[in-house]
Amino acid sequence: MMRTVWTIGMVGALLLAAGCNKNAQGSATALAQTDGYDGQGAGDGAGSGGDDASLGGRSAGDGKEYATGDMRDLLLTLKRVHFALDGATLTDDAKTALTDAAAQLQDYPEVSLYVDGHTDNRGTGEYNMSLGERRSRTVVKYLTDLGVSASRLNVVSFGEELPLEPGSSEHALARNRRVDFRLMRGDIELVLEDGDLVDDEGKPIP
Amino acid sequence: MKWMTTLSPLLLLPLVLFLANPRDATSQGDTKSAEEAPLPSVSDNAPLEVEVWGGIRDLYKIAAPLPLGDPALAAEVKDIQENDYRLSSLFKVLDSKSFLADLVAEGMEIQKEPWVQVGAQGVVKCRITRAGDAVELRCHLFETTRPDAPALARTYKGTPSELRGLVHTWVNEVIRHFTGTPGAFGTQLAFARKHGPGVKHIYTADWTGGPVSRITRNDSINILPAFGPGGIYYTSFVEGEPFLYRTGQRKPVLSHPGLNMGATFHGNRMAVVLSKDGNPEIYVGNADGTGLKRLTNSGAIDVSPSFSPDGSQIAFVSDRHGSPQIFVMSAAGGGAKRVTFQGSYNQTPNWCPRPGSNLVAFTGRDGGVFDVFTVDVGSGQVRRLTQKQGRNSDPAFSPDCRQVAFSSSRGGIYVSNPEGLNHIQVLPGEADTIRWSR
Repeated sequence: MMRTVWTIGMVGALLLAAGCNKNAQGSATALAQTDGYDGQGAGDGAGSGGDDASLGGRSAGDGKEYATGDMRDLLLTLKRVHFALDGATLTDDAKTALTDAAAQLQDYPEVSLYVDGHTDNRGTGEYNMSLGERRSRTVVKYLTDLGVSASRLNVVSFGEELPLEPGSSEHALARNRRVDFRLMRGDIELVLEDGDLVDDEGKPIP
Repeated sequence: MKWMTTLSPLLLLPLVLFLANPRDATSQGDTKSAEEAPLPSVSDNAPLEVEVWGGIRDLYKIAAPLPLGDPALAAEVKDIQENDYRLSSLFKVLDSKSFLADLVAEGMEIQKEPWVQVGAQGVVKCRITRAGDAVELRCHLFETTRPDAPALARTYKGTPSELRGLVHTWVNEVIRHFTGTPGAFGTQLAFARKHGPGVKHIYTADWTGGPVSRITRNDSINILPAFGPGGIYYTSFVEGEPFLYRTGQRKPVLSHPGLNMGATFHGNRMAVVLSKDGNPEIYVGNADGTGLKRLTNSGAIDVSPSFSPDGSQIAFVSDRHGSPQIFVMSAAGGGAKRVTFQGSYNQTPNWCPRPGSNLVAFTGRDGGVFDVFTVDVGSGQVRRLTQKQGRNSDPAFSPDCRQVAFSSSRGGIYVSNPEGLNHIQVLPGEADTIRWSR
């Protein structure tokens, strides 16, 4: 099993550093951290700190650990799912991604997931809480139909309260209509480590 | 008491200006939804009169000159009182610069002529005195048709910090004098406001403005406040999941798996939304969370309950027919009836609490824009309160239903009358999910 710590994504680290409420922050961190999926390529990550990543991985604070090796691969497989306005229907791409994720989840029965449903900021608070939950349940049902045990999947909705991107541009709204995943091993949330930071000119920050 | 004042069309002109809204009255919104009939536009008729309990009358012209007594407090009383009269949608407040009367000579009495000349139908004379930490407010209301003795005289005592409340109490009496029912000044709004990423707090404030009080102390997401027995109920993620809490009680009121939200109250009874059975359903039980009985069973989203004035019915939102619409059902369960058929996205019903009222305010979407509407659940008639004034949502009726508060992208919380006239900003700053205390 690979034990190398791969490091990607800057946003997660910034939010991690912000550290506030455990739960709300946990989710916000998870969301930002998944930015790594569509952010800079994972291959950029330096293979540093292999020894740190012994048994449980390195602590990321606040009940979190940096995912390493196979866990990191699993985390990267969990692609964010996006939806049409008012919709909770899975696209073909989303189904393909969830099918990949379900196959990997079968290999790691000790891992459970929070499936966080979110909406854009249109509509009203209470209805959007319900819509976010519907999105979460849609994803959970798809995964359980593929054989993932329902006991490993937790339905959560944050409604419109945790946008990924502020503002009301079409792009921001589209990104915010989503389901995100938080990967848990017991009470420990596994998160992606940040990559090498660069300054305004793109040069490495020592 | 009924006002039968007749005014010539010329005299009515200032009233039109007073109540006219800064909106473009050119009929329809942008696009129509695919399947549903479009929502109505605001009325093109210029507002000349307001509806009061049991009838319609012209706006009543009132003069409220600077009170006698302590100068600083007098200025405060004048501001609060004039603001209240404006917000009431019942009065046209005359400009004190136009007054002809000799205020010093008049004292707490009035001479008829100088007030009739400036068009006043009512004149309020107050005196505010301060002795240490005690204030005394004495007010007289005169009708210019009967200037010899006050139609209403009251004295209130309190501390300087209670002054706003004392003035509200007086204005409520003035409104009772003219309409038969008191005003709702002195009641509170509760709302949620974003504080930072992943942090949202519940606040309350006097609905006429002034300082806001933060209710929640955690650093989590707190949403959907409601006034209920023993405090303010709200949903919070402080324990990671959306549980229902009450102020002054650490333990959640409801902590079922899934959503615990949207509490609303009729006396000691609570209606609330739980999704523990797989999708959001409406339950009714006791305010402490015991004895909950499930009322809906649709497999769709059923949320946002609001009791009828007598508590026998509940308005709610359901998307059981595809799009979210306003429904009404028995508070004992059963008999669900759809009441909105225009627009494809109708939410947040709030039932006017005045006894016997069929009026439910709600948020509707027209061509991608959110606006505030009312529907008469008896006749199905829909009326539009906002149009081309930004995004407006989350309406809440005042206890006397003379006002509707709502969130507006124009900034914070606005209040209008139930006809959608007399829009006034009462609280700046972002705010959503508004409730009005009873």
